[in-house]
Amino acid sequence: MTKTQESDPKYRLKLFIAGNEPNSIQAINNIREILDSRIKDRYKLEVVDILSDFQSAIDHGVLVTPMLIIVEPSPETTIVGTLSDVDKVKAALRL
Amino acid sequence: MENESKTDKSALPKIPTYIAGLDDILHGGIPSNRTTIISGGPGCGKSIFGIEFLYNGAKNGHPGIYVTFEERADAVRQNALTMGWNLDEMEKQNLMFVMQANLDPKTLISGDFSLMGLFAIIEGKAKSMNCTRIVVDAIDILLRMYNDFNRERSEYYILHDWFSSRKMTSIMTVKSSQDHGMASRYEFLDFMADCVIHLDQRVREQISTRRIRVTKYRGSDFGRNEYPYVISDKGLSIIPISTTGLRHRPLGDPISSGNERLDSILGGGYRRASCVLIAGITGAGKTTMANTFIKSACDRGEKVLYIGFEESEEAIVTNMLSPGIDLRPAIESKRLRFLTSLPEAMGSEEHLMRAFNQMSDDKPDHIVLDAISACERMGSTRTAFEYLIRLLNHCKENDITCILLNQTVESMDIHQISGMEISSMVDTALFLGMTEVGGEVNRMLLVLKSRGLAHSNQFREFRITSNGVELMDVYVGEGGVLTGAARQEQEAKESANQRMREHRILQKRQELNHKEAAKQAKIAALQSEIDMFKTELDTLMEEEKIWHDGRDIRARLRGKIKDDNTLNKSILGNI
Repeated sequence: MTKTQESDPKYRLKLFIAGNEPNSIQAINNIREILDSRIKDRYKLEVVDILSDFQSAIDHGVLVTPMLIIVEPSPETTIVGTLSDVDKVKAALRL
Repeated sequence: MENESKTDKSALPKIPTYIAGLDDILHGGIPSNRTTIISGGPGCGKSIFGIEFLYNGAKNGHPGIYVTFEERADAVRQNALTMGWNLDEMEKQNLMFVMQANLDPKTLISGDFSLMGLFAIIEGKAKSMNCTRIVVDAIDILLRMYNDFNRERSEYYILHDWFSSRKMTSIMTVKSSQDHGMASRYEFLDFMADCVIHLDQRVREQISTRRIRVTKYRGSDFGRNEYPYVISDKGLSIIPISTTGLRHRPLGDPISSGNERLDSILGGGYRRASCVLIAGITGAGKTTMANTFIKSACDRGEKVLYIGFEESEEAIVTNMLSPGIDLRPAIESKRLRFLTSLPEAMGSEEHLMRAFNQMSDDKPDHIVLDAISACERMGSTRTAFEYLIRLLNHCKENDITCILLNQTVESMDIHQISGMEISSMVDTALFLGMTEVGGEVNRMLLVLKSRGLAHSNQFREFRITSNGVELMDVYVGEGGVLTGAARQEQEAKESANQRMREHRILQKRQELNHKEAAKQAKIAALQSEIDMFKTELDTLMEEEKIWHDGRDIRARLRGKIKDDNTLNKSILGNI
């Protein structure tokens, strides 16, 4: 894994939500806002609805929703909740 | 099997757990489509309870999901395998699903969240497996994520509601401890659940014992006592002693004790399905007596289980060769089984379950317990008493003859020789003792009790020969029962004694006559002495008178009559 400061690191994220429950909607909005304001076009966010895909919930151990897994940059970090604490999320993303 | 109510049409639908003894206490099983809480401290067997419930269900074709928050799924499967439950196989058949729900402690929390992930997984899996049974181990770990008492309460309510709306039968385990903070924190679970079972492990006299208690069961009656349970290599087993009625059958036919003469003394032998107590001091031949019976029972094709707390199987087999009892063929033909262990090795419940399990595997006709006196080492006298009563009860209910050995002090009181106050359960009691006569130590046998049979109540001498136990003829004479060489000498001695006694009576009678004569002689001698003294006194008095008369005459001659008159009078008065 290269750690060059200049070249932009790839941001790969997975957000697990449960249908359209309010927490999940909030989380989608919150993460989009943070990412778009700081690293627009440099991230890849995959939103997984566990209500229609429970197998990926099993595979990733998603017990609570919403749950954000920051796959890259590594190490993999997990944040649960509506992601309303912007500073905490930014710190986890190392932004 | 499922949703079946045994007695009442209106009764709550229940699901049998198939955990030994538990369904009796729960009057059928846990409530169907409802939530059951299992609480207990560490090491109580909460997880085993959950796994056993699901595994037993899976074996009967009911799939189940096991959600583990504490242990890794691999560890759960491995632990289950030690009980002989192959979860892997069940998972392959889609009858079970072990879900590892580890919450990474490094997980960050930012804002509110819900348990939808868990529900989605369970719902998805349950649908694909067509499953309605779920175990959550442990719910407190899941709830603690919120770290907010009110939130924990409402999330639990959502969970509870979610399960019941989907007609799922759930078991949730929760840790409880003596610590009051913890206990009260999850107390609300007990209020919300439909059935609450407490598991408890305590240490008494350095030996741990486990107790189970159902504290709540909505819409159903249940056994309200605290019941001992064990975790054996076959899972959880509960012994509901209080639900066991006295379903004893009457005593069976007499069966041979292995010794013809003993049979005749007992009035036919031991009774089948009875309780026989062989008590005696150490070395009196208790084990030999028991093995005499074992040998004859096995020769008849019957099965015996030997529960030994004192000697190893090898030691017993070897020792019994000297009185000519060869147990090896019986062991080879699997008619005789040994279950030996040190009493201290485990708690009394575990000892009991080992015995019960062995009995249900072997189906013995008879058991031998060697010895009652060692049972106290399982803990306290009370523990030993419970162990014995439950063992005896089990034997009586299953028509198993119970031979109990007990090492005692030299006492023939049945309450003392049985020890543990079990004398009322004893049908036949033999006392073996040793007595020393004329430098010889001899073995003695006394039948103290032989219920329902006419028996001899005389002391018998017996010998342990290379052909086993040999009983002698009874001899009743002076000084109680006689044994050994002394018995042979006795008769000769008796007639000599008789002659000696007659002679001594004669001698005494003569002596008495002599004494009588001597008395008469002494009386005569004394009388003559008295007479002699009297004569002497008379003589003295006469002399005195003569002396005074002489003086008066002399005084008158001297003219002094007046003065001497008084003196004279006093002398005469004194005489």
